[in-house]
Amino acid sequence: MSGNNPNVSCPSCSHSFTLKGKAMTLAMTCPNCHIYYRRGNWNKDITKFENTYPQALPLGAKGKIDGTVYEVMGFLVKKEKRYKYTWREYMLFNPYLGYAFLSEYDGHWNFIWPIEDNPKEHRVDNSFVYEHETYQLFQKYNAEVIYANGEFFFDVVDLTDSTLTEEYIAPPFLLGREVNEDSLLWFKGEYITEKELSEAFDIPAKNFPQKRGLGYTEPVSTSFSDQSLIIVGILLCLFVILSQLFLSSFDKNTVVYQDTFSADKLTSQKVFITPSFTLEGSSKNLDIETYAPLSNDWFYAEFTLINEDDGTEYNFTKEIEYYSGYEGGESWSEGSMFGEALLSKIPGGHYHINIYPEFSTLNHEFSIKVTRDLPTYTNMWVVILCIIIYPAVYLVHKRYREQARWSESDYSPYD
Amino acid sequence: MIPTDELKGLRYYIISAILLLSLFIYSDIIGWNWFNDTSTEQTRMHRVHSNGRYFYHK
Repeated sequence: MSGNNPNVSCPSCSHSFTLKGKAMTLAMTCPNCHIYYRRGNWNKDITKFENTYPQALPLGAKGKIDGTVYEVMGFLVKKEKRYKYTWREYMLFNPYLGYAFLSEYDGHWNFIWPIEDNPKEHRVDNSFVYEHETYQLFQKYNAEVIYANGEFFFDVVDLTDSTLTEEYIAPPFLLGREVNEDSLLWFKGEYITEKELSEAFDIPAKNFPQKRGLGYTEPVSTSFSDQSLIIVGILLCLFVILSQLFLSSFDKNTVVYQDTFSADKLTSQKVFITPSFTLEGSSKNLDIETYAPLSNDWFYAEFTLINEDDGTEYNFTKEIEYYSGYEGGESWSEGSMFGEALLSKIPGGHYHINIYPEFSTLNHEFSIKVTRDLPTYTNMWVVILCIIIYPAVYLVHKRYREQARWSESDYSPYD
Repeated sequence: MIPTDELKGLRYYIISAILLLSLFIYSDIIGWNWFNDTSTEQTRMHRVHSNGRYFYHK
């Protein structure tokens, strides 16, 4: 068995087969008896696995990830030594870029590749910034390989067994630090969706393991960042405010009628009928302000605004009351001498108002002021509230999801 | 300032806000106050007659 010969034979069953990785393959499993063994004379051990595991990506499958075509060379199932959970890794190979991995846990996938940087050099914190992203320690573990299939460019079984792995996340990215007695390796990874993987390898997504929960690097939203959402929300609010200011500059705020009425001029029909007044233009709002000089008293009236052109009547009532006094060394007051009725969408035309007042025994006078096309701001605040609601709900939801994500970690910043 | 693909991700939010903004502008033009309106009871009398200062309905 020569180190450069692509043809090898199994030390257990003597089955001959050809290596796809040629001289780069240093460990492999026999396609016939499925034992794992190392190439060359440096290690004659063979490893037999107790169980076999299904793999979503078959050996030899080719897929294009980030514009690079990779071929699936090997498949591993790893088990964490302390908490005993398992996950799956696929070793990928591209002749120009070398190897990479696809890692899958609970139906969530990460594409992982080695990097030459040492992102945490000279840092001892569990959190650090790398390439403008803040990474936080998510997990530290020792693992073992409980199943392997295919070819590998290093002894994955022994290396995994002797390596302490630290994983730092900044969803959708992760940084992995693998340390053993001989080496220190850094990997970078990025969450990849089932859909992207399905398209990359042309394998139906239903063949992949079912997703459960939130992946540890799965972003809450894959399509936008918090910063973009907040900026867009602020810009929209500013646009609403500017629109309000612009529209208000066209509001005429015209007083179309005002008068004072005394009880002694009340007709036998108990009604005051205002002279006709004209509302110019198309549909606008109309504000009717009532004032009565009250002192510990009330005033009530029924109003009917009548469109003389088409006979439409708008009936409404207004009650105002004002009380004041001096009690316990302090003066107090409640209510107001003013009342306001704001009517929407009143078309232009000729109008008058019938007023049916009810006077108390003290007050015998009131006045009204009718204003057309009054600037109002309630609609603007409602629109701003609606614009703010989505980012607010999204950010609360995101925090809830982040807490759920970190509940799987021994290093949660939420504890 | 905001990457194009992120704007694409926010398109439903932006479209909803633009629709709401359009309703807001339309409401301002026709004088429609959505919430702080005085409640009115609207009726229509088909024959309104004027006799100088006084108006009455038949």
